[in-house]
Amino acid sequence: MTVMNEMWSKLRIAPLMGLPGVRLSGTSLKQNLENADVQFASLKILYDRFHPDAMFTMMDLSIEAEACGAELGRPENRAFSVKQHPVGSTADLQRLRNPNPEADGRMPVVLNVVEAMSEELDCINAAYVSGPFTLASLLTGAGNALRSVIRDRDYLRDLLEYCTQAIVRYSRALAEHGADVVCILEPTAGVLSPRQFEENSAVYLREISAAVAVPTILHICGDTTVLIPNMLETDCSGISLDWQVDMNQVLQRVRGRIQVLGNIDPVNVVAYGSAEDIAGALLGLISLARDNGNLTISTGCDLPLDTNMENLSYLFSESRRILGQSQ
Amino acid sequence: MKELSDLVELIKQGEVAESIETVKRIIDDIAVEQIIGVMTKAMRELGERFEKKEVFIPELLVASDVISELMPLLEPYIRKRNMQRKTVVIGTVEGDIHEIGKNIVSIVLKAEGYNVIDLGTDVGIDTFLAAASKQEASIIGLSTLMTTTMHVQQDLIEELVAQGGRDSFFVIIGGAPVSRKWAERIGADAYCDDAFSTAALLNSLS
Repeated sequence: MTVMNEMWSKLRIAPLMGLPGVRLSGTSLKQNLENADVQFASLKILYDRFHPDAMFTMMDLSIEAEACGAELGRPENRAFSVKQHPVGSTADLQRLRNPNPEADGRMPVVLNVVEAMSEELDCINAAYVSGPFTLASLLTGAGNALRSVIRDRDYLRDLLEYCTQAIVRYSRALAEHGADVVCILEPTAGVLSPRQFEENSAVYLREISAAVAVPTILHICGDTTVLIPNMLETDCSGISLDWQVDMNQVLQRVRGRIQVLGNIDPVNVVAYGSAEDIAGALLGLISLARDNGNLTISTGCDLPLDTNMENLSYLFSESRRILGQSQ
Repeated sequence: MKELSDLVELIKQGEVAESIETVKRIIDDIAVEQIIGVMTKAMRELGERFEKKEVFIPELLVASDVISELMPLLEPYIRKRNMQRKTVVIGTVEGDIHEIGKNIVSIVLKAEGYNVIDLGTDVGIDTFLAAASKQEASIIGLSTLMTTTMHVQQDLIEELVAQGGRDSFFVIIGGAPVSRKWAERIGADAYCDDAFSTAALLNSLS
């Protein structure tokens, strides 16, 4: 058994959770996104309470964009967002810096969080990075990026190559600081056609996976059914899927080749649903997980800040009960 | 008229300049309703192909760009003919700057002949309600792409109830993290998962 298979075999229950820790630590999201000690403390509370098989850094799609030079809006309790897209043409790319993960923006914050996770959390520690098309969309505007798929492919290619290099440098630094897994968030590419996805995301995802020493998981939220075959060709070691996707079909297609994470509805079921909703969502998923060692019980996307903690507790206890696993 | 059937194809292919040229050439010779009919046809055909997953968001966006450019040309003719149109006030809720989904809904509804007041992104509740009242809208559309801002949809509906104006508006919600269940939970009138189902639903209310 390879080291990676050994690692995946331990990965049975791992919701994408980070934000609920903000409430538990009595801090603001802004504090968590700007201060490594605060973020780690929030994650540690979640870890101590639930002991998941994997912990993720706090989901934050603005890290790389900021390090590349984008100015951000930083509200107290909402996700940071790019205020002005710094790139409009290939010429603008010259003005962007090639981010140094040890120094630029809040990349050092996340590196410190990962280091603390690696030292103190006895589980698989995963760090998020933005995917290439998603980062390109943040730098040039999603509308501009999506139009460029048809209208200005040369510009988009230059931008995607720049983004890929930035992501590779950051991913390598995360691995060097102790991340066991790099989870690539590529939501904006989820609206592309399979051919567009291959040309504008998959080709760069392969480059990232090849350049990073630890396994990669590709996460795309929303209904990615049509893109699953392409997602499987990205050389990522795992894919993380949202609640709209039929996991049974995915697992049949994957045939144990890679890890599949998903796919309980984070909003309607876990955050705001009832115990019955959770039990219902787990019913089919756990029987699939029993038959497929490569399925990790997870949420389709990150859990909201105000997730009902009783629900989250129930998700863990019920999953473990049905899987016959002790904490 | 060949120009009209050509225009359908030009819109679907996202050919902005040629579409504008075509409309300028024919607009004084035909009723503006016919050009709106062409836009409706083009976007509905794209909608059917979108449903079948034959075209995707990039294709819808470039076609939407054509409609956006054509609307200012048509507005004077629409006003001249005093066309009766339902007014929709639409926007992305406060705290959220995502706009692509909302923009496509806005354009598809324009192509269907609605008077769409697009308030843009990061729109506060007061702005929504003031615009809806001032524009005599019957429909309010609320978009959000983030779990951290979806509550604003709920807050707006609660504010409408508090002000006693809930029954004056059909409130429709959309966005990646929301769903029919969420719409029921917060008391919205409807949830739609894309621009075309939004148009179909609103048309069915007429």
